[in-house]
Amino acid sequence: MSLAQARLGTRSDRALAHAWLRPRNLALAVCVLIAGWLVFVPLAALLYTAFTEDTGFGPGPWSLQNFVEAYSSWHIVRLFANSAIFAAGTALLTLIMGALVAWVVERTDAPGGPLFHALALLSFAIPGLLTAMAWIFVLSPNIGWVNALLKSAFGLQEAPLSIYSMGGMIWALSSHYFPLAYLTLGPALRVLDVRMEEAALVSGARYWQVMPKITLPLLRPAILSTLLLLFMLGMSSYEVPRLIGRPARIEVFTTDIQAATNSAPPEFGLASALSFTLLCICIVAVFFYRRSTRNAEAFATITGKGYMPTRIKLGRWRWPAAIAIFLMFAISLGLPLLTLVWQSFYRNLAQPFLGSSGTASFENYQFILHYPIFLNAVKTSVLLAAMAATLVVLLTFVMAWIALRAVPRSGWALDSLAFMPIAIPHVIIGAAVLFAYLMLPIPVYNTIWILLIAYVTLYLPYGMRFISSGLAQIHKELEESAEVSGARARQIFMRILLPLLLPVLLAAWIYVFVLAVRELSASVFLVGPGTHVLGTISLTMWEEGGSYGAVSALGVIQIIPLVAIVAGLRWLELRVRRRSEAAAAKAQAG
Amino acid sequence: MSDFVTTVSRFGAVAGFALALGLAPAHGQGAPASHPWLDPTLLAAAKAEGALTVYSSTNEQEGLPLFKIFEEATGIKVEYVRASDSVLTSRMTIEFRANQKSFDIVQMTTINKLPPPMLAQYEPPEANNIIPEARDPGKRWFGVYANYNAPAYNTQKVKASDLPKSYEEFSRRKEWAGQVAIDGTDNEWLKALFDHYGEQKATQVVKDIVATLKPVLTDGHLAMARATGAGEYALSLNNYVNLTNNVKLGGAPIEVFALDPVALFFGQVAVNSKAPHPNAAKLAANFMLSQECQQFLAKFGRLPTRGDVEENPPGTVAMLRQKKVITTLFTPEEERVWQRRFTELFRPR
Repeated sequence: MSLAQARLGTRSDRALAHAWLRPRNLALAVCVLIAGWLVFVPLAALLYTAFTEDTGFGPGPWSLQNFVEAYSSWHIVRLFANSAIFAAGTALLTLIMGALVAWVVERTDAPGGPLFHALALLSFAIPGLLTAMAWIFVLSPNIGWVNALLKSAFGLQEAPLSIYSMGGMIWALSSHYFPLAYLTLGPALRVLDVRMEEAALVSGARYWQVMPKITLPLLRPAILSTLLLLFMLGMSSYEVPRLIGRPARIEVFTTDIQAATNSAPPEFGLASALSFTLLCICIVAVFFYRRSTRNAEAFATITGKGYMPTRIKLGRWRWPAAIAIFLMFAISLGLPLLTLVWQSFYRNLAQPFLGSSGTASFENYQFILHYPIFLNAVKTSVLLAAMAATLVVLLTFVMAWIALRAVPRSGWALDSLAFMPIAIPHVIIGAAVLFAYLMLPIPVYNTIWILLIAYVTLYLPYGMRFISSGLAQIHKELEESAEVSGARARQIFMRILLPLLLPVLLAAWIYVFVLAVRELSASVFLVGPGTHVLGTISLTMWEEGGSYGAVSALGVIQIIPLVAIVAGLRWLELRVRRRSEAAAAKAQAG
Repeated sequence: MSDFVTTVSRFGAVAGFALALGLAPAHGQGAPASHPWLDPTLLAAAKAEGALTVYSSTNEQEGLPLFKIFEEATGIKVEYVRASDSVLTSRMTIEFRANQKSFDIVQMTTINKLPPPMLAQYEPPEANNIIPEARDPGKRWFGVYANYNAPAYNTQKVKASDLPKSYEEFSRRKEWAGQVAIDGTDNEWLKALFDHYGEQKATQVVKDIVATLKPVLTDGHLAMARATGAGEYALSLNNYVNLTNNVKLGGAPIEVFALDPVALFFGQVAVNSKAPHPNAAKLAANFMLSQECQQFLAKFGRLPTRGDVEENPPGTVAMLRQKKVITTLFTPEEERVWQRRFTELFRPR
């Protein structure tokens, strides 16, 4: 190497080091390090417990015994097959339902958009345990009230429907998760540039040709991102397999994981070995998702060449479309919600329209509102959820930007990192966080902060999926042209990225907030004196001393403040969106 | 009417974002004037420590008013953390390994499965008044309430006259196929069955029951009691009697019936070997075994371990004691062995 080359090299190294020392890059690096650390703790715990002997009271020497136990019988094949069918069925049905709502609300002039949006949010404000319980009360062959009505209406001997089946499980979970598909697809459909479709139509294509050839390919990142999220949610879902799958003898990975963690002493080694499969599926799924969307620019519909979202005019089909969507909500949300509200006025099982053994009263609400730690738990849960949602959105925004813009070639690794916690059972995350922060000299034990650390870890995957699919639709030429025109990073962020991404960021915030308010499995390890949360009260009601009525009343009470908060945020989102649409129109006119 | 108004106004407070309101509902029970469990020497030392942290699997509706009695009698502030047995077990183990001085006493049903070094050896004076089976010979735990195991049935679905007289008879009731439930972790019950019938016969009895009735495996004993009371299942092959009673006291058509054998274990109390407030812990353990505490818990259907406390509903223990009662207390290793056996018999892979 010549002296000149060496000098050049030293200079470029210095320039590189200097570039990294810029406040913006340092901030980015700090965000990635924090997220990396948050994921590392439970991941390391999962791998360590999976590959060491389970002594019952902590990991022993290195061993493959947990894998031998988990994978050495044919039972695992049945477990895998059931899990795959359940997760794939849920992902597909949920995607179809969510996409229908998203298309009608975001792309057409059908009435009722704000109502459907509110109903979608209401749907996942109901805790998963209660949704599964409500579907049992609706569709159980023995006590389901819809079955009883159908039997009496048609003079049937046997119940025509049964929730205790694979179809029942898929339906129970899809009816709960389809608002998520709507929330992730909605922003993508909203910003889809209709002129690409119009150009195809003008060139002689029919709408049925435009949909598969133009619309769906443009939405590929959002659709695949949603499918990936839904599939993993199906694989790792726990309430429906617990309440519906187990009595039906349809066992999935989470049934066995939960049985292992619920034994006394818990078999964390076995649970971790089983979770290892979920983790591998998760990494492979993210890898293929990134491969199929690697040409990110091809899917960007918000470019520098003018962008004007417009709606399809349905004409005389406006009302039928709105009524069809309403009916979908009436069945998927109305039936379980009606059942829960009805049940909340009775102590023991009460079937709507079929009478009840007791009399209706507010006794269950009194019980919940007088429950010793209820109001403190509401305060803690809402505060924690708001902080967790804000941090998750901030961290995943930075990570998604780096993965898609700064290092797109190896971005899948960052994407996988942020997505991994979805494959780790919440109880293992809770236990790992407790262990790590008891060993480290960071004084968060028994405080609200240890819960916050766990919540941010749990919900990174959701933020990442929402934001990376939103960012994929914004062409980077917008940022590049701003940079060429002399805009600084802060200006690019504040005046280009933030306004365009705000609907997605708000949707992600709302979703994480709602999930965090009702989190229970990790919280049980981390609550201390004075830091009780709503999820742990729900679990207490279910496990120890609560009637059906009390459990239902707690669910109904939880829903009300959530709906108020979410409605407030929706109002904010609409205001912001109108402002950014007005700004876009003004810029185009200029 | 006033109750209705109160409820509506409280409901409104929550709906209108009651988050910032400091409405701490006072639900304390008045403590009696005399407390025989209150050892004056321990009290002085405990008062100097000033606080007590309780880990318990009992819900807050029972646990907080119970420890309010303790607070009022001693002036010691109590911090109460509730979680399930399995979560508390993991949590305490993690804290023990990290050398964390976290809790003072623990109350749950699986204390006998904890490693002995985690628990202090201490025999509270009130332990002399509980039944001998409820006392750990190693003096590390003591039974606060009794967990008897017996079948239950829905009185609207099954007539009392049709009930089987033995577990063998269950396997002759084909009409109940798919209508009978059992919790997926009832390994203590299985062990008692093996002790009673002997290995070979017990295996055959269980296999016959599984083949004929195809029992539904449920998750959680209270969930099973509620579902049997609701008519989702006609019978529970086994359940905790106090939980069946809890659902019955709530007005559901459910009833316990006893068969040979009746498995028995306990809701226990123990003092942490690393208790941050060791004297307050000893005083609280003594309180948990007192007549005052057990009378309070009996109101919620928990069956006392003391002979001088009447159970609720009355006569339950006498009815169960007519059968062969087998106390089953597992070590962690035994628990694993019997849980595997249970799974193999009820969920053949």
